[in-house]
Amino acid sequence: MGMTIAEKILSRAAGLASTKPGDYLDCALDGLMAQESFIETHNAAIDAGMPDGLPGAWDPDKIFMMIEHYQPASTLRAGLRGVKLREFAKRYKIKNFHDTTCGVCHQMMVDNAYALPGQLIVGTDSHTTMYGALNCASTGIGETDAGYAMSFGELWFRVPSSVRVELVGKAPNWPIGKDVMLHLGGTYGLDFGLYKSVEFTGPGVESLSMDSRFTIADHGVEVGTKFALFECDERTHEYLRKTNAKPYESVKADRDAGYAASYTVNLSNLAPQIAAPHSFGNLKDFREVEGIHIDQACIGSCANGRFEDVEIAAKILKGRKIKSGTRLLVSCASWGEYRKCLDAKLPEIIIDAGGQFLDPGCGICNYSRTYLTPGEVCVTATSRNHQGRMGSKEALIYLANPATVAWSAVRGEIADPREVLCELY
Amino acid sequence: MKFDLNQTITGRVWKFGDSVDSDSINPYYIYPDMKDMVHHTLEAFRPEFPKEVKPGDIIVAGRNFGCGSHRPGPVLRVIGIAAILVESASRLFLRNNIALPLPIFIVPGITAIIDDGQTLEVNYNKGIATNVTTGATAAMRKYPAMIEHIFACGGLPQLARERYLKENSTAD
Repeated sequence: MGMTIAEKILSRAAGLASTKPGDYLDCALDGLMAQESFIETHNAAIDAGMPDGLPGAWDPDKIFMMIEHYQPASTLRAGLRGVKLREFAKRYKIKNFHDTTCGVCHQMMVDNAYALPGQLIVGTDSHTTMYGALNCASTGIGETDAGYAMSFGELWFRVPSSVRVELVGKAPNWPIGKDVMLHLGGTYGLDFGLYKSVEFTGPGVESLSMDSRFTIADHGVEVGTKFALFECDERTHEYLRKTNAKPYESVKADRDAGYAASYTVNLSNLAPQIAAPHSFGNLKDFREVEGIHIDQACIGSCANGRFEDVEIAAKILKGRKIKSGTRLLVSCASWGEYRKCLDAKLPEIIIDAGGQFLDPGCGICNYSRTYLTPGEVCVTATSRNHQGRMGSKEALIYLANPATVAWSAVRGEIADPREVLCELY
Repeated sequence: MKFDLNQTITGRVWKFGDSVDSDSINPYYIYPDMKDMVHHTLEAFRPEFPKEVKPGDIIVAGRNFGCGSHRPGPVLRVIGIAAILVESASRLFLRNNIALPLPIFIVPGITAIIDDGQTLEVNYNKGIATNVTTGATAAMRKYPAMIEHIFACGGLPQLARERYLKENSTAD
């Protein structure tokens, strides 16, 4: 029987001709992404009896370090973690180190072509699945695993079974990645991809922008996946050319590869989706939530902080004002995406409408730039709506696509974006 | 901390449902310091948990335990949780707790055999979890030798240290 993308990449990394779901392998890594939490990797090494921390890095050029979760720092703790990471970058001679002009680590990994098709990459953040949009088998690990990965460039992997999500129809002119994943999570459960490699395939893929593919792969972890993978097509190669990627070998699934399950999503008639507090899978019909007053609206993060997400917001906000009593926060996923938005003069449209354009980074997706007080309601195109994610446990967070967020900010209440999208397109 | 897989664990059960997220286990966004986090772990699901949990207690949960962010469960180790038995765990949470290590076991059917507050006996060697009150049992999934070795070493950092020392002594 043939192999899936995950089986091919893992068997190559393990130096085997083939492998099958359930096998446990020792795999060679193509890269490790580490952020401020690397201090915990260091401390775990000390606890394990290595008084100076990790003795070395297996290959400094394959380690990517970023100060990005709390950048710029707003507390002593965050500031000190930045100081430590700068020290580590020097000590281990990490060339690919990003400091003040960073952004969300995952966007940095693709902006700089650190993650390439066919590779196996791990990172100390759950949304590391995002590089799957570039046909890279990438997944999150914890700080403790990261020490082993850093020292030896190897980690254990259980070969996952693979499932197919067949995308049919044609994507609309607005970003639909969020809706695809909310729909899958809400319909098939938040563990439908658990321990699995999900391959997004089918005739609908070619109509999806790279930005939307990144959103889909990023949210792979929300439905439990180990990998969320696409094959490369002309759009992928074009994206990689623009980022000056080194030569790579993309991987396709064999025709007779084995899949544990198959799901179909029709992009042509997928309605905007919205998840109510406090879970990605808590899908609601718009009729149930329309009219709920919102205090805050957010667009950004590794899930929805790319050009097309800001562009649709700007299209909706052009010539309009955000409702008094509601605040809109927009943050790009990286300075590269920020630059694209500046070139298209998008920030000034957001600002003219009364929104706040924040610097790029993770702060839009945690409490550090988005604090909600008890009883406040937020609709957000970021990654998660778990209880307390934006501060108060008594706050309510709804997850939706960036068009929904922008239109809701104009109305001051949760609103169906089709009211305005039908005017725009 | 070494964890002897052959040792039987007995403790009082705290029972949770499906999809308990790692932000609620580690609410570090709000309480970045461990000394504060211990007073708030899992309170989003059960407000009394951080107040009443005792060292040696066992967590039993449904599907997809620890879903969400990549944060592992050292806070659960600090408060003295003796074992975690779940229908399924998120892959990140599972892998993180193997690396720590914190005894985590996949036990399909575990939620059907035990209620909150009852006493559970966990015998990995025999592969059986037993409700001490009712005698009901559930079969525990065995880990492959590769993973049992990580537990036996006392976690992945210990394994890394041993490998490093071994490789560097052969080089001499």
